[in-house]
Amino acid sequence: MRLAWFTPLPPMLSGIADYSSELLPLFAEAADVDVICPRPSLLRRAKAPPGIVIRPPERFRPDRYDAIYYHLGNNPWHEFVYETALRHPGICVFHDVVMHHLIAHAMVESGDQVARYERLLGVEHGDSGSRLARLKVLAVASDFEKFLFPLSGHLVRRAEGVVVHSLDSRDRLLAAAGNIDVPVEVIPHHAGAPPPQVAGIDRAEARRRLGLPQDAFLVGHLGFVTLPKQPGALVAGFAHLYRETPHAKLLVVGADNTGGAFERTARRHGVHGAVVSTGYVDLVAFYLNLKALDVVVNLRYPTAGESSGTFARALAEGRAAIVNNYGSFAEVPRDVALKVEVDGDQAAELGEHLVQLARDPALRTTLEANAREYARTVLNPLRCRDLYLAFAQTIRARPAAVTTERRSDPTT
Amino acid sequence: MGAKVRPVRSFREFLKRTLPIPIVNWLRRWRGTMRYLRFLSYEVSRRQSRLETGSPLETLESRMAARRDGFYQQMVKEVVERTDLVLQQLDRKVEGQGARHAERLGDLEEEMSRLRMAIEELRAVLEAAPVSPAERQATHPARERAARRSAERRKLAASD
Repeated sequence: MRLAWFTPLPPMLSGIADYSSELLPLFAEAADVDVICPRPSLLRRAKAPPGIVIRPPERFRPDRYDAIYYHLGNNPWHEFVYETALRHPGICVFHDVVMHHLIAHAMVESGDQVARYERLLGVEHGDSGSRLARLKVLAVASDFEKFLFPLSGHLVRRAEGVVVHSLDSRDRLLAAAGNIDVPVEVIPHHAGAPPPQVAGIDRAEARRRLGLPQDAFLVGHLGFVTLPKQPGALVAGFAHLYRETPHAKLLVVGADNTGGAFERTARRHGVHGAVVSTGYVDLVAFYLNLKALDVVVNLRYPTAGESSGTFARALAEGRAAIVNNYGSFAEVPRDVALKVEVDGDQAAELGEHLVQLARDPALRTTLEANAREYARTVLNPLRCRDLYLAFAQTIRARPAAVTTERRSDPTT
Repeated sequence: MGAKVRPVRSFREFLKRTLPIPIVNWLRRWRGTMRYLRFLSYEVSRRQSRLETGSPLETLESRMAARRDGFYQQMVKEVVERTDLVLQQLDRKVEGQGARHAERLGDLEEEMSRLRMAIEELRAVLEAAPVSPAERQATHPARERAARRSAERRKLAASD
């Protein structure tokens, strides 16, 4: 089978670039795959995974392939994917259900296609959409509205098939597209394998290498610290634990993008001495820090319908995790990860969970075993690859007439 | 006192003596107003140039205030921010409820499929077991109860 795989690749700063880099070598073993990706900049090239050929978008010929996968994310690195997905329909992989940030950036915030943006919002969301677009042009807009008006329906209506990572994303996407008849496949976000440099390193060894105390109860936050990751609740919840367990530490693995708000909140709660921030780290250092942890906290609100790659890695590494009972996280069973409600007192709930985990090593051990098992069975990369291949076969076998009637969409 | 000031003062004294009191007072008020406005203009001019050149002491707020549309933009920002907060609180409630309901629904579906499987197993066992004619004729208590309820329902419907 010959596949075209539209995706950004490293060094482009997109989680989907890492996602594809991990999965593509597995595809190279079972299919003939071409990756379609532009150069990240004039002086840099995209990094090709082993066994994969990269082609620039301008040399893409759709008739050469049995199936085309478009990996769509909600950031400017995916603009070429978005535009080609509208021109040559294929299978859209929605890593985010919300496409509004990407579209607003491309058409209004840094582009000059205001009329196209207005038309798109009008078609997808009626009069409210048109009014919203006009207000946006007058600079009366907020970021939250982008989550409520996802702007992904037109892509679904054009697609031959759709892939999402969770049932929640499937429901949100179909609701945005008007519940049309398009084949949708749920393929979980695979749990990436650790790099060989950290193979065989256990918790004690990781702490020794990082100079972290062996007896500390280590709570971790993985990835960029941004406002949707609820840094306020994280710090306040940790402070609750810190009052009971003074040897607890909060390890923040990733760059702080809150403009200093995170540090100020930590100072206000009197826990800044217990917070260890690593800043941005490479994959090897990321895994070393992950292995050192006792608990991983991964809160998120609002969601663009994404699935967390760092959360999948934490589960595969067998770490007890605390997540929001919301979006794709809500689908993870409660015996695999503890949950915090988005409409409750997040800080208090998080604090209670942390204290419970610190006091009860048996609960931690059970959660760790369940997490490992969940990752092994559900988030297995080979299983995910096979699901992608099987879905491509299904779409290829589908009569073309089924999809052509949807393509007369005025938004394109 | 300088030579230039002396004739001005003498002229002022002459006017005070010759002009009626109300006119003298009017002239005093007029001079006071002019002096006040002149010094105010120096103050405003100094402040404006300080704001526009962006001295290190400036804050973002004062720069915003110096712009003609600063207040309008600030107001829009605050209204949008407030609307966002209200919407997010509402959305959190909707999403929280949705997640809990979906979870309960999932549990119920799981329970139902377990029950279905158990029924299938029981049915298979019952069908496989040999049944004597006497057992076949005997009515099951549950079946009796169902027949009784159905008869009662029919009676109620007839009385309506």
